[in-house]
Order: sequence, then C-alpha cells, then structure tokens
Amino acid sequence: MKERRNGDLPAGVDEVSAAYRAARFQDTPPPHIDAQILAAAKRVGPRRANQYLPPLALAATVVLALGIVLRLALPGPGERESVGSAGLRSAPVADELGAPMLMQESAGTAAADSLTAPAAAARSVQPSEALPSADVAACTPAQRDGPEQWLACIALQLNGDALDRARTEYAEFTRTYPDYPVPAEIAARIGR
Amino acid sequence: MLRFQSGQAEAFEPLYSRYRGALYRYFARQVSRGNVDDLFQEAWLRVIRGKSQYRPDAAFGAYLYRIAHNVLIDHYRKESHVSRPAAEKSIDPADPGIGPEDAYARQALRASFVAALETLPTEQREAYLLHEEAGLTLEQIAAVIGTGRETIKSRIRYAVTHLKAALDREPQTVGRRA
Repeated sequence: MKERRNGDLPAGVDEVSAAYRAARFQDTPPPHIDAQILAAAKRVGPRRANQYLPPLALAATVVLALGIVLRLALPGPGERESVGSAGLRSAPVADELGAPMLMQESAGTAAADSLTAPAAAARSVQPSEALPSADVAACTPAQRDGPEQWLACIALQLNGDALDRARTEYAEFTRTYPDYPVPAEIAARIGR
Repeated sequence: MLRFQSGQAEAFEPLYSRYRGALYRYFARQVSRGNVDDLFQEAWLRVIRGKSQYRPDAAFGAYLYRIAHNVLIDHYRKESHVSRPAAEKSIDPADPGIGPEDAYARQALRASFVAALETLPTEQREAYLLHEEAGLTLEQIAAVIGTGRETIKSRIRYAVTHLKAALDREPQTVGRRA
C-alpha cells in the first residue's frame, strides 16, 4: 500500500509516519462484518454475471414464436399465386375501379374477397405478388372489351413478370384505344 | 477487481483481504465507534453493487477510497455534525508477542495519536489518513476528495505539523518511539 513517498511533502511527514506505524493500529472489522460482506459479494457475483441471459432467452423465444405465427398466418408465394389465378379464372372482368387503384389492396383482403365475391378477386393482385410468367394467361376477349379491364389484365401480366406478353397486349391496347389515358405506372413499367 | 467485475465472485475475497484493515481504520479514525462498522459495510456494499461502474483506468485503492469518502460525506450530512472518534475507545486487539511495558507504551502512543487526530479539522485529518493509512498519492487523494493537488498538499502539511507538535508534548514522542 505504501507506494507513495514523501519527497513532495513537507518535512516531518516521515517522522510522523514512523510514529504512526510504531503505534501499530490494528483495528480490523469484526468477523461477522467480514462474513456479511463476503456473502454479499458471493450473492451478487454470479447473478450479475448472468443477468442478461434470462431476458435474452425470453426475447429469442418471443421472436421465434412470432416468426412461426406469422409464417403460418400469412399465405406464402405459392398460395397467393393460386388465389390470384383462381380469381382471374373465376372472374376475368375487373370491376370499374380499375387495376392501378386496386393494386393497393392487401393479399389477405384478396383471399377473403375471392371466397365471397369472386369478381373482386381480379383486383387483388399486387405488384409484389409476382406470378410466374408461364402461368400468366393472355388477356381474354372479354377483358379486351373495355380499356379498364384490358389495362387491369396488362397490369397483372406485368406483375407476373410477363413483360413481353404485357408489351404485346399494350401495343394492341394503344392501337385500339390510342387516346385512352394510361396510368403512369403501367406506362413506365412497359418502358414505352 | 476486473475478475470480480466479470462475474468471478471468488476474486472478491483477496481484494477484500488486502484493503479491509486500512479502510476500517480510515473510518475508525474519523467517526465514532458505533458508526464504524456500518460505514465500513456500506462502503463495501457500494463496491459490490456498483462493480460495473469500476473502470480499470483508476487504481482500485483510489476507487475504493472515493466510495469511502462519499460514504463518509453522506454520514456527515445525515448526522449534521462531525462525529469524532473517542480516544479512550480502543478497538485494537492486544499486541501479541510483546512485553507488558512495550504493550502499554504502544497503547499510549495509539491513544496519543488518536487524540491528536481528533483535534484536526476534518479535511486535514482525512487527507492525512488517505496519505498515511490508505497510501494514496497526492494526485489520488485530490481525485478522491475532489479538490486540487496543492490543496491536499497544504492540508497534509498542516496536519503533520499539528500531529508532530501534539505528539512531542506526549511522553511517547515521535523521536523517542519506534
């Protein structure tokens, strides 16, 4: 303990220090105080070391459970595809709201709608719901009967990565309806 | 301390053994006998509870006495006065291995020292004890108390002058003992 020395201290410090040491103060804490302090250190030591483990384990469990629940609750890509295709086949004509606006709706809503109102399922496909190009059907004559339905069909083809087919349909569409205002999103995605 | 901090409870015991005596005497020389145990225990419990706050850039001794100083200040505030140790209350065990005369002389010297320390102003006494009992440097004492190095040096100078004069008046004077 006596690592310092008194070079920077006034004269007499060493002399008084010698007297202090000669007095040999030996008072120490009583044994029961020692025992209490050491017991407190043992109690705190291990628990403090592992204090983050229980909350971490709990958080990991919650995240895992949440992930499983979400995976089970939300339809996967294959399921959504079948919902969309079924909706198209059962209700080839989109309603009057038009594809661009309807693309905002959720897949969950679409699935529910397809059960109760088959025609509404046609408006349920979103940009994120990518349909394989092989499964994207060409627009039917009924869809080509009106510009809105036709554009809805083209939008579905774009969503299904059937860009070539969509461009073909779009070219046909612009020849048929040269002055019809095309939604900017579709025009941009067609690239023309 | 770092081992204890990292969760090795067994690392505390050697640390405690090393510092317990000096810290106990630090309190014993400054407060009444009835408060020494409580303050000593409180200081160590603060070390234990606040072990995550220890930073290795400071010596553990300085860290420990910083906590002890705060415990002492809290005690003074609570008591609203400075409780002094009583010279007649010896809490030392009997000196082993020495004759009765030497034991008496040593006991008398202790009593003189305690009496002389008792008459010191609080700040001077604490500075001196941190220097003498805790073995801290001027810089460390300054950090513990939260004041300047030169202030500490001045306090120790006054304390030493006072203690030397007081002990010189006693039969067991500095020059004649040891």
